Amino acid sequence: MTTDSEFVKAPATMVAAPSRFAMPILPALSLAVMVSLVVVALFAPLLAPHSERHGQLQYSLEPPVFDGGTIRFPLGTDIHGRDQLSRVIYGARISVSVVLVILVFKTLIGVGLGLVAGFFGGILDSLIMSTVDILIAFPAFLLAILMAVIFGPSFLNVILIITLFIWPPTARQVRVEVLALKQQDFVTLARCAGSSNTRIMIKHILPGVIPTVLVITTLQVGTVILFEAALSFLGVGIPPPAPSWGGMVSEGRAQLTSAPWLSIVPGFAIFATVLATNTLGDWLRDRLDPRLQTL
Amino acid sequence: MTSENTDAAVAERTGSSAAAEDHLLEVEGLKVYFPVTAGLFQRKVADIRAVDGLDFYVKRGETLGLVGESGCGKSTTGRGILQLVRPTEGSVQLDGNELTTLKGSALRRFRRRMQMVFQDPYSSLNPRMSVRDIVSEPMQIHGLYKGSERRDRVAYLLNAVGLNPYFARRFPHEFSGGQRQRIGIARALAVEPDFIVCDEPVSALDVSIQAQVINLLEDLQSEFNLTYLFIAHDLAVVRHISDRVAVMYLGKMMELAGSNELYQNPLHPYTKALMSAVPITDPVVERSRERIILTGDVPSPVRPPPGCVFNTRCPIAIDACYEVIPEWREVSPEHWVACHRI
Repeated sequence: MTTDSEFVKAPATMVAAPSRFAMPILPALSLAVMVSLVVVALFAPLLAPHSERHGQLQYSLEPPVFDGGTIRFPLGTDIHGRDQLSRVIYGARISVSVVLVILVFKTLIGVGLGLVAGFFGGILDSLIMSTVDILIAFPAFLLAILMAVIFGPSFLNVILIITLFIWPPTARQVRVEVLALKQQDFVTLARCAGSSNTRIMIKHILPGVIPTVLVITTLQVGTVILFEAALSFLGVGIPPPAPSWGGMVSEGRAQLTSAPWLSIVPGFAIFATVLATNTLGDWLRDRLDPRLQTL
Repeated sequence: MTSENTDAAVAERTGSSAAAEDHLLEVEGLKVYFPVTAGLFQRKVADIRAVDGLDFYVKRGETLGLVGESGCGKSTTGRGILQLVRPTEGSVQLDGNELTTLKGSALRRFRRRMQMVFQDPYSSLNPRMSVRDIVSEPMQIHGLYKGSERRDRVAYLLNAVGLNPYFARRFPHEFSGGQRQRIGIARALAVEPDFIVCDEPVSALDVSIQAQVINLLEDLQSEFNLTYLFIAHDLAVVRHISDRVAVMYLGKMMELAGSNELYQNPLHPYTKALMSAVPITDPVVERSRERIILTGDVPSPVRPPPGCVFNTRCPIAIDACYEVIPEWREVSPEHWVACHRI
């Protein structure tokens, strides 16, 4: 029929809306960076040409290829003759594992406490939210350094300290979402059907906060990497000789004028990773939840 | 003198009728207050008297309509009966079981017998659950039907509310408002309840769809022997579906009678004003319709006026109306009213 065909033909000005997850180039690149980081971390022993811990002193302070070095040490060597490329590759392992463990912890704590605070309200809510406010108001970094000095630098302590300061924003945002969700009629109807509080929280409220949590978590990847790098740079993070990127930047400082690549190479690794996660997080936020603009 | 006589007569009549007739739901002195807090320490400074002393019953198999303007406590009454908000005072008995003292899992088990259908078909279905999950959730909670039987039951229920069982796989956003309301009804029926509170179930729908849903509710009532408390503000809809109608104003009942009796012979001045606001579809009669226009606004339920709550707007108020709370009495069989002037 004629009317039908007229209907089907859209005016030239109408452009098909991009599908919800059609990815523009920048987030796609960022995702590629993150995926390759994980791959590098997983297969570090296969990819690294040299040992990351044991140097060959005769090759001390070799420059990278782009600065007149040899292909044997593409990114140069440090003062102990350790291959920079191998150390950056193993550094990815540290960053990825620190990020994964911390984000799992902070999600469990943040989502759990935010859910409880928002759902039950009352004294529990006041207590949890006061803790959140205090932790957010605290000069996190000073306290983190103090704690690291007191408890000593170790992988576990780094995890615990960073987790302590990274969960509050999640809890706060989850609580707000829960407050809105629990007013919905379907929650009242779930109660009416005989659901217990636990069931309502897990089946009806938790699924509603997942997009928000996903966005916050992606955006926090960069924060965690920077936090760990900063702690390691200050000598209170992952203890040497483990090749943490932050620690490498710090070690390179002594030769900053004579061998700048020692700090620049791991610094670039940090920069690229953080930029990639933030770009991806921003994109996810715009896609999933435009209300989160302020985060 | 007469009031004493009527009191005794009423007591006798209600006593005997309760025994003779089958009252599924008995509500006595139901009050639901919400605290108003203020100041730094959230001290309680007043109460919002959303529902302020209701006495009524619903007979098995009937539909009791509940009308009144926005904010008069209709919905709170429904929620108070279902214990979705806990009543401040009073007793609610379903089939002789006191609900107000039930707690925790005992209350959850009892919820099987009373369900609810909401006004807003958009927020009343969880957008992340498929229709099958939505309809079967109550069965899952109460451990009714297992495995394939439950799937069959979902198909049966969808069929009963006029939906294609094939829709079970879809999600709420794929349906229109009327279809969503049908899904909500199917869910309410899933646990074979005796009593359903319909809280403005058609107010959000187009008029043509309203009629379909109303007819569906009526069909289901006779098929499954259901008892409804039908809350609405559309007087024509309420008249059509209800056996008896109660009129609420500011947390109290003003009048309750059989629906024909109430619409043809309203006694309370508030009911009369309400009825005069209903347009008549015959233009000749409509032209001669006399509107009783009430002046003023509904007083705040935080500080209701002393005496009769309607006294600020009542065209026929006398001194007693400002001092004495009118008694809720049965002026003729099955016709209850709270007014000094009757």
